[in-house]
Amino acid sequence: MEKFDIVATARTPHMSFDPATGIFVLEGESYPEDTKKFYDAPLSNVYAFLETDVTSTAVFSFKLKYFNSSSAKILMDLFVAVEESAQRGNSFKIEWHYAADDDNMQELGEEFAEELDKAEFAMVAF
Amino acid sequence: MQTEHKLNGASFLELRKQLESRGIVFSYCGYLNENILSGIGNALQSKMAIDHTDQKISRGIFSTFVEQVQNVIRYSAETIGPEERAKMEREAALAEGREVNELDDGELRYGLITIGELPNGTRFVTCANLIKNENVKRVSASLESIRGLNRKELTTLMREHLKAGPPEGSKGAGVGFISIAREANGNWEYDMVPMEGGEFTFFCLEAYF
Repeated sequence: MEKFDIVATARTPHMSFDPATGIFVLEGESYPEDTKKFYDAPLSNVYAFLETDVTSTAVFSFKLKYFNSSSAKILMDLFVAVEESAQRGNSFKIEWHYAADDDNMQELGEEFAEELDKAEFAMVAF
Repeated sequence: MQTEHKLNGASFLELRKQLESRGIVFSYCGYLNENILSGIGNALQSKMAIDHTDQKISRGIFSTFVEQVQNVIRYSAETIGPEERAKMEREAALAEGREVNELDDGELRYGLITIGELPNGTRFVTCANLIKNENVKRVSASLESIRGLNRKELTTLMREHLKAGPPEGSKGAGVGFISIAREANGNWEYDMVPMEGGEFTFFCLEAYF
């Protein structure tokens, strides 16, 4: 379980995580050439973290401008795992940031929110 | 190179005029890979920014373009695999008496993509590729099952499919068509044209904005 900070490229988002603070950030555009290859290794640290007992509220922040359907699958799997971790008693806050004029990103956030019950899901317009 | 061929600029111009008369602004016909997706995607975004295309429309067009091209890269039946490409390169190098070039290990898949505007102002993103006849039924059924669904219904369906996981044979999340239909607010069409030879079908999918 290591911290990481991956710089954005034209097709991949900025992604960072620190297990010490429980802060996860995903920001930018996501339509990688090979979605699994991009996400699997770094997210394995996040998944390992979700298995632990988290002492303070972990904040997962999403600020995406665009993501393709393969990336949507990655997000869904992550939200399901976060919810499971929350069901076991860990505390989470998920922030879904979207541009105020971006109905699309707002609707997608609202849809993901349907999967979350114990984990708090906040919609944040900017 | 000795050849009987003579460049005919007028006929080439004719090709451009034909595209323009159909309102086509971007077109690509040939083998595709992820680098071409990046390149054209980038030019497409720049063009829409210069034109001050409405943000919602340009997001929809870009997103549909990416899903369509990734469908071709994953599923077009007209393909040159990495081994075949390497073999062709070795033979070409031998014939030309030069060293063998290093190729990436990706596949190339053939497809046709056009982006443009109809006379009534509706934008379109059209994509076509060959599929095997045995897959026509499955692809058609999957598209028919989402016909007539509105954006909200498609968004919910997408969530359900994402949660259930991809169907067998899918190389992505299995929600590409749903995602395209959703971006286009349910305004899309498809057509299947059987090819001579009885093995392949020309599959076209068009989304409107």
